[in-house]
Amino acid sequence: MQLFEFLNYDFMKNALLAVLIITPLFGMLGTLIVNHRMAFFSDALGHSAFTGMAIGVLFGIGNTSVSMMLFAVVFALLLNYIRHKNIVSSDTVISVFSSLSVAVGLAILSRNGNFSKYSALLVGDILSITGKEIIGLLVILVITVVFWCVAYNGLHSIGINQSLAKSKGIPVALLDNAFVVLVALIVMLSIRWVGILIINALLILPAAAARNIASNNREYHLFSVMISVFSGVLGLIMSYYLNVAAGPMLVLVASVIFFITFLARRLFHV
Amino acid sequence: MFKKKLGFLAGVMVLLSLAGYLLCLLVGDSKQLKKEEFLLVTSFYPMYVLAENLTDGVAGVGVSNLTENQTGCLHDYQLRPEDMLLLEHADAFLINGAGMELFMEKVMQKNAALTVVDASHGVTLLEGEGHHHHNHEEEEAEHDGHGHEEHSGNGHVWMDVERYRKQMDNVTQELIRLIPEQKEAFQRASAAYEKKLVKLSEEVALVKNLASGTPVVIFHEAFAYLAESLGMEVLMSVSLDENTVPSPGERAEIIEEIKYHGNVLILIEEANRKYADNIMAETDAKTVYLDPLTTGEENADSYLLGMQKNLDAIRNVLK
Repeated sequence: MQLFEFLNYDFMKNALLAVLIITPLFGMLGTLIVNHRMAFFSDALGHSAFTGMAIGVLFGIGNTSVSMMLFAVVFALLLNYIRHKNIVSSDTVISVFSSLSVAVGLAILSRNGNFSKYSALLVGDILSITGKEIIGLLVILVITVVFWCVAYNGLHSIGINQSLAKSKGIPVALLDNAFVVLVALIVMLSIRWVGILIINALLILPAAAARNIASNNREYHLFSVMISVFSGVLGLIMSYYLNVAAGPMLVLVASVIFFITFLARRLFHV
Repeated sequence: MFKKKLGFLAGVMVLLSLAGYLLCLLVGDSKQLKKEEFLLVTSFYPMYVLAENLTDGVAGVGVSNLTENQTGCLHDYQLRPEDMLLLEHADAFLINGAGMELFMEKVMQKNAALTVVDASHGVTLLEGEGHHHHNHEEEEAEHDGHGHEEHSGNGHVWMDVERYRKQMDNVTQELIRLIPEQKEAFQRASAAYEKKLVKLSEEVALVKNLASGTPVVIFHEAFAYLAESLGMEVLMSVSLDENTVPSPGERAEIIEEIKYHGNVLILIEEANRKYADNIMAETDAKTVYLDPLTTGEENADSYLLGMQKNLDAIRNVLK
């Protein structure tokens, strides 16, 4: 077995490039999602892809990515609004919306027994990504980094204490909404490559693993991005040699790291 | 402390990489293929069987099936790295066409250099189930002229022996065009297979005498072709894709339709028999278990045998 044999192929090079863009992105976003206790929120967001696609198909929008993104943004803002209303406990509300959007999507897409044509969305296929789509991902990476530089402190203080953040003059609602919109866009842009079943794991696991051993924000971010990129690259390469789908392999590697760091927590007295 | 943690994390990563490497060494395999003189990759089982027959005794041509023989209909197939690789090495890619390989559209466009042999070129299709809209961006981006308008058609062409013979002609001609120096060998192989198919056609004609005019409800699009070639009257076509089950309304509709006509045959795959049992309990319909021939053993005669078995099954019920 040659170690770098996989680089002989364009589809593996493209997939590797895509992984190198998506994983740092997910590593960064994941830290805030974990801090804001929004793991379930992003999961629901992923599931809304079904409805977005169904709406696109229903209205004959050629490029269903557009309808998926539009729907996800609306869905994210709506969820966020309800989340802050404190009417029912937010996990219940999110679960209701998540189930609803999956059901609507399934109902529309399974008309005429055609669902199997869309089920690729469940697992995703990073191997078929093209150069143009990689550039799209690169653009969103740049946007995210800029957004991070501008808004991170504000968002972080919201995560710690919302009332305190408000009293300090931080535009809480604006920042919070901007953040969920960004998450929605990134999830929809990468869902074709990563898949609905896996996308949330990739968002949450690296950050959760990093949080196990980090004791300040700098460490938290650095470790999260490191773990994310590492899991992505190792998972992709292993999937090549082991003949398994790439997405699940990435998640498996990230999960192993999570458990190791979980056990190592005591080592660092965090 | 920070350095210690960083070191720890780096250590974990090195260890995991090593573990992964070992795992790949133990379980994984290298993908570099032995270079055959001409590698013909087929998209799925029926095409694989066809190619095996048409290259029988032709020197310097290797046939390799992209999907496992057990994959079945391709509607929701996911390509693995291994599959992409096989395509990179392929000299020609034999597809059934008529929309069966929708999942491959993107891949085929990416490998623009790949020679695609469309077996269903010029074959008239029966109307398909619903109209599906899939991968629009790609369709609009690169409309390369063939195939797309046929996507709403029923792609399971091989289930009609006459159409299958047309497919065979198409593929033979394409193979000769691609490898002219093997013309005689291809023609020999083709003639030998044709002979067997003619015999099968005669069998079809015999069963047709019995089956003509029988009302049927089919539970797989593939059976529409078989029913047509036997002169059966298809009352309803129910799609049982892997991920969907007939809705309650649909089941009621089937039962009403069967009751209305009487003496209806249900054509269904053995694996889906629970749906037929369900319906048989409420009507006088009889069931025939048929094989859509999308999976099977590595046996060049499997199409002939499978088709014969289907015909026998129908004959036995009608006798």
